Parts: sequence; structure tokens; C-alpha cells
Amino acid sequence: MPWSFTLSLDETTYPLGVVQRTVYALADRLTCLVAQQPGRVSLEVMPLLLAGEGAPSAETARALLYRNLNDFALRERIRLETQGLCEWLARTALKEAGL
Amino acid sequence: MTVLLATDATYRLLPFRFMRLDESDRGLLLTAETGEYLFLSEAQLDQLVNRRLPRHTPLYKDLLARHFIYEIDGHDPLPEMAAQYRSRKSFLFGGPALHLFVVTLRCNHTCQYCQVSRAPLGGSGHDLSAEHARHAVDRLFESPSPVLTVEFQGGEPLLAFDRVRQIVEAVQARNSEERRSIRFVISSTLHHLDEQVLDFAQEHDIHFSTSLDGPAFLHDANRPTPERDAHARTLDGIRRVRERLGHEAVSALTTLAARSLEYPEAIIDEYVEQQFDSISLRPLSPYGFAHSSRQRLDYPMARYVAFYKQALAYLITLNGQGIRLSEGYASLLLTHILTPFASGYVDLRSPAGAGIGALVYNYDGGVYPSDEARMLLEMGEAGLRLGSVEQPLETLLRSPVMGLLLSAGIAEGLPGCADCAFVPYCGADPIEHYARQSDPVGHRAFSAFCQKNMALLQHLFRLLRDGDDLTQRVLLSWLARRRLADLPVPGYRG
Ligand code: SF4
Repeated sequence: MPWSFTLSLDETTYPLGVVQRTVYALADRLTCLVAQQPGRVSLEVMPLLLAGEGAPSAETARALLYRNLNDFALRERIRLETQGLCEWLARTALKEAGL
Repeated sequence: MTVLLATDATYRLLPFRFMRLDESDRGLLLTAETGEYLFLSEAQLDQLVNRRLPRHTPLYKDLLARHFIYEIDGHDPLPEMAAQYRSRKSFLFGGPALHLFVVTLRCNHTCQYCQVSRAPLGGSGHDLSAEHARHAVDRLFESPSPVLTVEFQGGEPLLAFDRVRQIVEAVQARNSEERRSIRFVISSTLHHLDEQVLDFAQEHDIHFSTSLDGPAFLHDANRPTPERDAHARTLDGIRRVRERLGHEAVSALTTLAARSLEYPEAIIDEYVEQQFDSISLRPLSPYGFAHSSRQRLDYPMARYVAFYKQALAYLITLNGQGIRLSEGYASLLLTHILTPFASGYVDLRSPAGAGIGALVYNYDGGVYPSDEARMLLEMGEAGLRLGSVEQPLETLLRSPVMGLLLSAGIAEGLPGCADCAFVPYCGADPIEHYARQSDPVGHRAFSAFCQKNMALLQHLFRLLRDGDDLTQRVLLSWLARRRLADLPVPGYRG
């Protein structure tokens, strides 16, 4: 295995759902093992072997992970602040379709 | 209804998604639940979510007008947004509108990418029976949709023309009371067109959809016949249909085999020469292959995307020179991006179009939610059958298969798609994911469907943001289905 590293993340900044969505989005490039500890989420990161030559370096992987973690944390914040509105819209708009 | 976090600012956020297109100062794409979009910088997004956007700036007004924010003491945007949302999902209100009748599997071609959904010319047991056809017409009218498309598929449907005739006559007889708007289309190579077929098509206003894969050397390689004259015979068929039924009575689709990807210009030139005003550059789907051929015929989606971008650039240049030729998939995506209307295209819907929007009556009397689902049957996968043509539509639509498709067919709730800024314009395709990943939900990071739509939508959004006036006007003309010269506006920049 060419490289691996572990990130230990503060759960209040990066809740489990945010970490899971990040890992999902990068699954074609990185293999990540997610574990929960009290107040923290740890992430063991390796390149995806299937990605071969296209696999990122450790440095790129770290940058990718943090950018995605921050983006998903922001999405989560937007979701919380607008909670219920999407469902309300869909319910109101689609009432007539019996959905 | 909703608990919103209180802040000192005078505005609140409405639901939106964002995506990084690039590192430029308008490199972030924001899309609202209703499909409106804006390009922002990272600093602007930060200001937006931290309630530090100054009022009275153009950006603030844009965000307000496009339903990314609302003012606490201002106008309530929700009824308007619900109306927009309803319009984008209007395909849900009518029931299945596209009804595909597979009248025979027999075909005179031996296309390599269609090994599993055809039978030899003289093969028996591959034709739809008269009784099954009668039942299928009953199912068609059980759909409440006021607008219906009846499409005849094969194999080669003209080899079972008596069945086509029976169905058209039965539908029209019934429709004298029902009064729906019904369109008939025959998907055909046009090799078996004769005067009798043309007379009937003229009498009943039937349109034809054919396959034209490019110039003769490509078309004939893709579609071998014993006489090696597939291209010439299809062109002859196109000419005869146009002479008898008018220029618009025939459209053409392109199937792109691996070799085709080397010839974007030659394929487009062929469509110009044959005077089509639309070309549809579709990648091969994974359904028709025999497993042994997959290696040879399939290609990575990245190769298709490179081909598509080259083709689109060439089409834009040609349109700039006064040639009217639009690309079908780009036109659909642009409709989703730039209008509040649904295109009606079954593969780009959420909830997925299979079953809800389309039904396939197979030659053996089975009913399927899509053409792809019935092709999987020929590959040995019978699990996506809704039931028999003898069962009422209500029973078919309550089949466990529909439950499975719906549970995996709402893009807004799928992993990956739920956070994707393209979800208002994209769709869910559980059958494609089932075919490629053996799972109707599938994993977006490994999904060819996602790779294609992600790449093409990103490309179109970049063209809308950065394209010169010609590019913008050409894209708008495709959307409006008008000639470039008839467009008064200098261009649309979101
Ligand atoms: S399929 Fe891909 S491009 Fe389409 S909405 Fe889902 S994640 Fe986005």
C-alpha cells in the first residue's frame, strides 16, 4: 500500500453523517474506514487500489477530504436551517398526484 | 410547519444545493429546489449563509427573485415555489403516457449491440398475438393521461405490420369516444416500407423513427445485413416517408458504437446532408449486448463525454453558419435548466419514469416498466416484469416491482443525488443501475448514468456561464426550437 493516514475529527464540526457523505462522494478515489469514538469521528484513509495510476497522492487526498468535509458540513447547515421546507414544497405541489 | 434558526439578519435561507464547477470567481453553482440557478464566488456563498449579504445589491435581489432567500417581513415565496415545483413535476399527474408495443422480435439486421433483443427473420414464437394486442389496447386506455404516445418497437415492427394495423385501428376506434390526443410512432429501419405501409401511415397520421448511425461506412458496420446495404435502404426509406408524409414525419436516432466515437464530424455531416434538424447522440446502453461482446463494444463514459463535447462544439459552429441542427439530449437538459417545465423525457425524471410514465407490452404478453427492463428479460433477468397484459393497469402499477423502482427512483432522496446541485435537472434510473450494478439504487461514484449527466450538465452550465454570444444564442434556439436568425435576444446568462 503506497500511503495511508488517519484523521481524527471533532464530531461537533464534522458529524458522522457529514463524514459518511464525504466518504461516499470520494469512493471512486479513496478507501476510508470510519470509526466513532466519544466526541470524535476517525477516518483511516488509503488510496482506492482500483483507481491505479489515477489514485491521488496523500497530500491531494487530504486536501480533497477537507474540502469535501467542509462542503458537506455547510450543506448540513443549510439543510438544518431550511428543514421541512423541501418536504412542505413537495407535499403541497404534489397533493393532486396522490403522492 | 418549519422551525427556522433565528438570526439578526432580515432574510432567511430557502433550500438550495451547491456545487464547485471550477476555481473561477463564479465557480460555485447554486441551484434552488425549483430549478433556478446562480453562479457565485466562494466569498459570496459565505456571505449568503452567514447573513452578511448587503441588501440592495444586484446579487441580493437575484437571490431573492430566484428563491434562494426570503425576507422575514416580505412577500411569502412558498405558494409561487410550490407552483414552479408542480410544473417541473407535471409528468406525475397524468399516468403512463408512453406505451411501447413490441409487436415482434424478428429483424433482418444482425447488429452486434442488439444480440439479445432480436430474433431471426423466419423465427417463430416471437410475435405479439392478436389477443395480447387487444388486452394491451385496454391497458392503454386505463391510463388517465390525456396525451398518449403509441410506439411500435421490435425487432423490426414492419415485419409484423398486420399487428400494427390491428392496434392502430383498435386505438382509433376506441378514441372516437375517449377523445385523447394520440400520436403513433413506428421505430423502424424502414427497410420493409412498401406502398401499403405508406398508405396506412398517411391515413392514420403515423410518424416514423429510424436509426441513422452516420455515413455508410459506420452505419453498415454497426448494422450488418446479408446484402450490406443497410445505409442505402434506410436513406431510401427516409426519402419515401418524406415524399409521402412530409419532411417532419421521420426522425432519426444515432447509436454510437466504440468506433463511432472517432467520427463526430462525419456523423453530424451525414445528418446535415440528410436534412434532419435534430440529432440524438446517445451512448450505447448496457442492455443489448451478449456478454461475450461487451468487452469489444462498450467504452468508458469518459470517451463518450470527450466525443460529445467535440460534437457539440461542431454543432454550434454549424448552427452559427446558418445550418439548423440541434442535439436532442442537450435540448432536453436545457429545457430542464432554463424553463420551469418538464421535458417529459422518461429517463430524466424523478420519480423515475419507468412504469409511472411508460409501459412496454412485450411480444410474449408480459408488461414491463421500460424497454430496458424487457431487454434485461432477454438477458435472463425476469425480475422486472410488472405482470401480464391481461391484468388491469391498477394491478400492474401496484406490483412489487413498482414498489422497488419507486423506492430507488426518487433522486432527491438517493445517496449522492440528494446533495447534488444537478438534481432538479437530472433523474433517477433504477433500471440502468440494476443492469450495471445489480442494485436499483447503485453507487453514484461508479455510475455511468451519473458520470454522463454530471459531465454533460457541467459542460452546459459552463457554456451558459462562459460561452460567447453565438454559443448562447444557439443553445437558446435549440430550446425554443427556432432558427438562430429568428432569435431576438443576445443571450441568456444566469
Ligand atoms: S445522477 Fe449524478 S448528476 Fe444526476 S443528480 Fe445524481 S449525483 Fe447529480
